[in-house]
Amino acid sequence: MSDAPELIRLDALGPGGPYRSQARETVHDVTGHPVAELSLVPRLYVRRGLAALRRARPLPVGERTAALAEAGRLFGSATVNGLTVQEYEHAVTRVSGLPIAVVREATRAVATGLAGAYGFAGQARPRGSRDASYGASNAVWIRRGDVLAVLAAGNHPGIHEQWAEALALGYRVAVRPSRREPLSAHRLVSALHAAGFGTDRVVLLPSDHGVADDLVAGADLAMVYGGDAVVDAYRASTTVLPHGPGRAKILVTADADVPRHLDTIVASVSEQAGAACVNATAVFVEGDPAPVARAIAERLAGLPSLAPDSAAAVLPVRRVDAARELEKFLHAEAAGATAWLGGDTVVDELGDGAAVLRPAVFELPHANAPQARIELPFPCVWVAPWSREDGVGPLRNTIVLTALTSDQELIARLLDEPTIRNLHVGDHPTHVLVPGLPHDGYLGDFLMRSKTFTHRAPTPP
Amino acid sequence: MKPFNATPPLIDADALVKKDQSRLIHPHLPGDSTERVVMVEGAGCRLRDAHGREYLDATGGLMLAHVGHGRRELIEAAAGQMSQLAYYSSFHEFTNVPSIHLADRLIELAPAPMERVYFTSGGAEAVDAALRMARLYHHRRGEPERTWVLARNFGYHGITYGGAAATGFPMFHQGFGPMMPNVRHLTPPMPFHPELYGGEDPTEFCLRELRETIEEIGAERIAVMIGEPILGVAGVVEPPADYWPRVRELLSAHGILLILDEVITSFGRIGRWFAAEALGVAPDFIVTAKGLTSGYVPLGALLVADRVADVVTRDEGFVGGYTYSGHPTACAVALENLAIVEREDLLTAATDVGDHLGARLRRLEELPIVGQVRQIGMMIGIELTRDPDTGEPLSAEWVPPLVRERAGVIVRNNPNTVLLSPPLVMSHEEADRVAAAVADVLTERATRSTRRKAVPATPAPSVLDAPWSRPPAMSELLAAAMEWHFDPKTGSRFWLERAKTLDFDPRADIRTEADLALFPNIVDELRDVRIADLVPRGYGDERIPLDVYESGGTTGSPKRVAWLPDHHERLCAWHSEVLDDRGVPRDVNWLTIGPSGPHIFGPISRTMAHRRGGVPFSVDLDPRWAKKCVAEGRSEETRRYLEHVLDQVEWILRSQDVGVVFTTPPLLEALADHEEMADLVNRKVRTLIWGGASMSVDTRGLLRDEVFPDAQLLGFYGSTMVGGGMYERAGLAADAPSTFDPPYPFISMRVVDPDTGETVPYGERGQVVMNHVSRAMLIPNNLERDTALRLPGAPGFGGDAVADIRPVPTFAGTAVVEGVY
Repeated sequence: MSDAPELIRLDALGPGGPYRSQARETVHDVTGHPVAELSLVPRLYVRRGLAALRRARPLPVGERTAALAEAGRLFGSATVNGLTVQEYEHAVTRVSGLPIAVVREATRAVATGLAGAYGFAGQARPRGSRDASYGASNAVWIRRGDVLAVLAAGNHPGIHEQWAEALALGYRVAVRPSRREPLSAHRLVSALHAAGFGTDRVVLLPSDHGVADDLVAGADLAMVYGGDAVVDAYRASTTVLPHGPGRAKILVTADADVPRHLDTIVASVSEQAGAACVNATAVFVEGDPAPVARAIAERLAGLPSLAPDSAAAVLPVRRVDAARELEKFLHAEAAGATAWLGGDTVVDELGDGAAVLRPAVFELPHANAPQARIELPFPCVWVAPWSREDGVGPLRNTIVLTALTSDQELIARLLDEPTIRNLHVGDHPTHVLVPGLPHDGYLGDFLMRSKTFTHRAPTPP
Repeated sequence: MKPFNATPPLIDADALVKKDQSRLIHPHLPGDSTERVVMVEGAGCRLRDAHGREYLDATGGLMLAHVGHGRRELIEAAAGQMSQLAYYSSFHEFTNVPSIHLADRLIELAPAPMERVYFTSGGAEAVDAALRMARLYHHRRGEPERTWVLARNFGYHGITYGGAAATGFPMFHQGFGPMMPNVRHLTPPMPFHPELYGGEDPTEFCLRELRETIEEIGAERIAVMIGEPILGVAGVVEPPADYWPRVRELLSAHGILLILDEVITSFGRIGRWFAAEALGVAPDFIVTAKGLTSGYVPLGALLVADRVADVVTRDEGFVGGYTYSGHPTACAVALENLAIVEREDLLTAATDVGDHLGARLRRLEELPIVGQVRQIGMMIGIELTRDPDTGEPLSAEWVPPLVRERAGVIVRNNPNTVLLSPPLVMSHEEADRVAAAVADVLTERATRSTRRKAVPATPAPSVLDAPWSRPPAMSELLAAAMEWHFDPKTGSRFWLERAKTLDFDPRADIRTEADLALFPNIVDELRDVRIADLVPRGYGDERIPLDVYESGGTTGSPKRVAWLPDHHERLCAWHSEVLDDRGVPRDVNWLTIGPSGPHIFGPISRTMAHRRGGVPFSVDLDPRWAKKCVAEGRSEETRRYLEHVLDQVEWILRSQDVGVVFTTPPLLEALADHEEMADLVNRKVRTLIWGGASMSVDTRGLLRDEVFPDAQLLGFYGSTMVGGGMYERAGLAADAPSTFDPPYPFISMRVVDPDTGETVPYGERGQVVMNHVSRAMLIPNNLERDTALRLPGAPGFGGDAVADIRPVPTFAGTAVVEGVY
């Protein structure tokens, strides 16, 4: 890990172009070295930015899709804000501690995601609005508002692919980047501007938490990433879409051949460095969970501790003090659980101020143990016993569930359960998303609505 | 009557004003005055200007508008006549139908012996015509020496050269000479001013003077006397009942003609068609205009007695006329106007509403600044006096602008009389509003005058009385202040009691600014102290007009300070000097958007507006309520409250000229959110002063460079608890935080580490401690709820300065709610 020659300037990107505020904060890498300087905008700037977005008209669809594709190309290959894609990926790796391979994959995903954003977004379009079989009447898919605010997370650069769909649908978008990893959002908004989205159609508004509330309040709709507190705060809101912890799970019923599925289980826990919301948090095993826990632990124990910019790195890295805080939290929460891996420590110091967060595997005494809900930003899994008597209850509130079972009746019940957002049956790791299919529902379900449009007015001669 | 349009017309008022300033010559407007009111609409007694502000017209413009503004009948009369014959000359044998009918109608209404009518464009032309006819009359009758004109002081007859010569105000002569020769001004009867008559009865004095003048000039050389039956511009002065009959008698005895100038008094203004009949006088000429058309079109009519008309029309006729003599459209409008006056019985209305208004206003005679309220029909004069005992005049020129700005009511004035002459269609309710508006302004002035007298003599001069702009040394101030506040004869009950618990002797031990840290922070004691106990006894036993201002009050009882008039005066004088230094304009109105009530924010702003020649507009808000809403998470209520405040701001900004806005950063930001209001601010406001909360450098830069680029942005940091505040240092770099220098040594500051109480090094942040030391107040060692960077004071200022003010997160265990107002 080497020091950058100078700090990367991450200005706000407002309707008037880049804005360098006096209030700036330094973004550090996982060794504690400064990498970038982020401008934080005041409330007034946010309000003016939102007003400009509201005044702007959407680009015509054709221009939008072309600009999104071009933005994807720029994001994935061009020099943006003075950074080549390699420099950008390296910086994100240093700042986030995500392995470079994960960051590179996210770059590709964002680039392709932008190119296909209009098509992906259209997956949510109701059938009624797709054909004209109702004569002069038709269903029209319209935006619920004009301006979307995105309070982005910094755990994974891939999340930015999501809100590009809003641009594709004609929304003007204000993005508040993560202050921990603002590089990705900054690069994407810069690329969008360079690709033809006017500076009054998408803006980057880094700000503190107090101002973030104004951003949500001032937009028509908002996507907010955060923890349980965020989800609770906006649970009843019809205009805010909260993205909380995913709490992805795996269910292994008695009829499953565990050794055959072990790759799927291990990949679900550890791919993406275990930092994504779709990484498995808990594995429920019908029967004795110990063998499963042991097998997972044995596999995860072999993952190497490497600096994140190593091509072979697979585990996340944090500053030592932050890693120790996480470990302290984990061990406190794990009281009463059986440690198969990471019971002594999950922190492996690299000697430069950074530390690898090594995997942890804990066995819980029963399916309803509260620890099964604890999601941590590294490969950490809770393995619990599950029985038919436990039912669907422990499996609820899950962004994705991979069920390793042949029980069709159980599969039907899981499919009917609304709090299980996505269900994979068989060897499909939790973290593998299927392009074009919903991630946490279609974003279009939140952004759009349908209305009937009848046009019987005579056409002018 | 035509209603106003629902929304004001879209007019670029400011552009019009600028063009007016560069293109128009206004009568009676000082060259340095930038004020313009661009009137755009009228309906009844209401007017609306280009800014959309509505006014109640209590002047009828210049004492006309009898039937009110916006009368459809008159518009149609004009349009109807124009569609047939808009204009043709009345010279020679040419004439037209409306002028014939109007002449006939006027003679029908006029008192004997009026028989003939000569039309002009207005009153002054008619006066000139009357003077010419009078001389011609004598000339043709073989007395060409009769050229002298007798007029009266304080009479007003227009400003044509003949009329101006007859007018009895020197201001219309000075610089315009030589005036028309052979004019002599006599004394009119003004019973309220006995000093003019040397103890003689006014009528007797005036008659004697007239006799003596006739003797002096020679009756055979005098053509005519001219006078207003009731002095109008001079202040609505009705003569004694026997004055005009006796004048007429004396003039007739000497073959001198009489012109009554009834330009103001005719057509219902005093509840009659003409004043002549009411005063029992039969003139040879009656001059009319104004109410003849209610001002819809210019028209004057000179009514002439038969015997005079016979002479001046014989031989080659009356030589000389005006292009618009007998203008058919004007005459058609006049006919319809007189029909309305008759149909709506506006003569009775003038008496009814006039008496009602007069009765309301006569109550003002109880005020020491009101000498006399005079009312005849819809003519009213309120004469102001500096001293009711001596009748020493008090200028009335400050009244109309104040009444207009405060209440939207238009009145006029002569040098020392407020003049009212509303349209005759004014309702009782409107009259009540007029009376209340005038009463409000006069009462306030009278109260202030009284209050000034009540303030006790200030104590003997000492450093405590030094102007804040020329301060003493801190050591001198402390020595004098400690003696004052801790001497049993002069100190306040509060400090004398508190001194018993101090473990030091303030009179001996407080010698430096640092010594002030010996005092305890008394802030909590100010929550329940009797306010009178804070007043130093040295102010004496006389009643002092004491104000009380509060701070806090969100989570517990507020802290209070006693605000003495001499402190207010010194503080505001200092503020005003600073504002002059910063180029903040004078003679502009102030708009304060902030808490008044028990808070000092509003009162200081009000005083500053007055002191600097402006009118204080204010939009109040209750910060305690707003903070409670925020603290309890009731954001919707806060939002609605803010909208409510902004509505009021918009109404003022739209209708008024505002040069300085004094408000808080959150409200400035709220203004910035409203594009239209921000635009109004940019077009009208020259200085925006913000205070009461912190402002980041970035927000300041955005406001200054992007939102309000046309206005000066000036920060203010103050504290009610220490009785003052300070303005942002001048010349700060764009990226430098706002820095504040106190009026040292009266207010001084330290920045301390809250844990140790030690002063932090320069450039470091700590909590602000303020001291106030003056005659009126001793508040030492007051821990503010702000943090700031400690900086050296600017050159010329003493002590420390503070920069980058930010609220502390919690104070006394309670979360500080900031950014609310």
